Amino acid sequence: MKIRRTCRDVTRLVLESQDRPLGALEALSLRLHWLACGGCRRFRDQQQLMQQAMDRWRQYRDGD
Amino acid sequence: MSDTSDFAAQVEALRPQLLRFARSQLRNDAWAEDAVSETLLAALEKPHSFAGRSQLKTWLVAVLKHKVIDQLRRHAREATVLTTDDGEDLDESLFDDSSRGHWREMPPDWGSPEAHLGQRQFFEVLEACMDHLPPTQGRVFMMREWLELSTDEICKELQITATNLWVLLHRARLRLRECLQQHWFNNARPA
Repeated sequence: MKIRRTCRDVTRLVLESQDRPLGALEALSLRLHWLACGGCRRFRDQQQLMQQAMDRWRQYRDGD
Repeated sequence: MSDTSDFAAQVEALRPQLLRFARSQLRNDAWAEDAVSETLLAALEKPHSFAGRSQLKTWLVAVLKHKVIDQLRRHAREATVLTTDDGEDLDESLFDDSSRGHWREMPPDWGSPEAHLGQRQFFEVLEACMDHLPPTQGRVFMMREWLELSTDEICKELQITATNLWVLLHRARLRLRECLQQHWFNNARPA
């Protein structure tokens, strides 16, 4: 089980975390990576925005 | 008697919107027409009295979602065909080749969610981006995000493996991100 990950791998996990729960070590490896990597923090923040956008969109869809 | 024809008229008035939703999910006009027809027939067989238009719409959308899943199940093989677009691996353009697999470019700062999510046009762009996903990616993405099916359920309905699904969702999410970057965030003036 890897603790140090590439940005490519972190991206994959951030995307997958939207469709499955991450294991404890996976989640830890992300937090460690984010301490040192601004690019991946940006990607994480972008994905959070997208998730909020999808939640809001779902509400619009049902309510309009 | 006029109640029934009022009801039929109300139901029929919702057809264009239902068709839009069905097309967005199914990415196939014929399947969408079938799903909507079946939905409207189901509605007309049961002219319950709805307190208001919004309840009728909610109910019709719920029925539509079931009919849409039926279509996906029925046409599973065709619904999971990959086009060349589906095969495009965005990862290659995002990350460098080295073993470190770093970002080639720093992802831009999109700013606060509220700056964008308060604008109606943002959601118009988001929907257009979703509709522009390659068909199989689009179907799978909408099954997660609109039908809110679990990954197991999607695999079961479409008869695909979990691995297939992860790849499709990965690509869909990266594509969507890229589309939003190009068509919204590159020009964005926060509200």
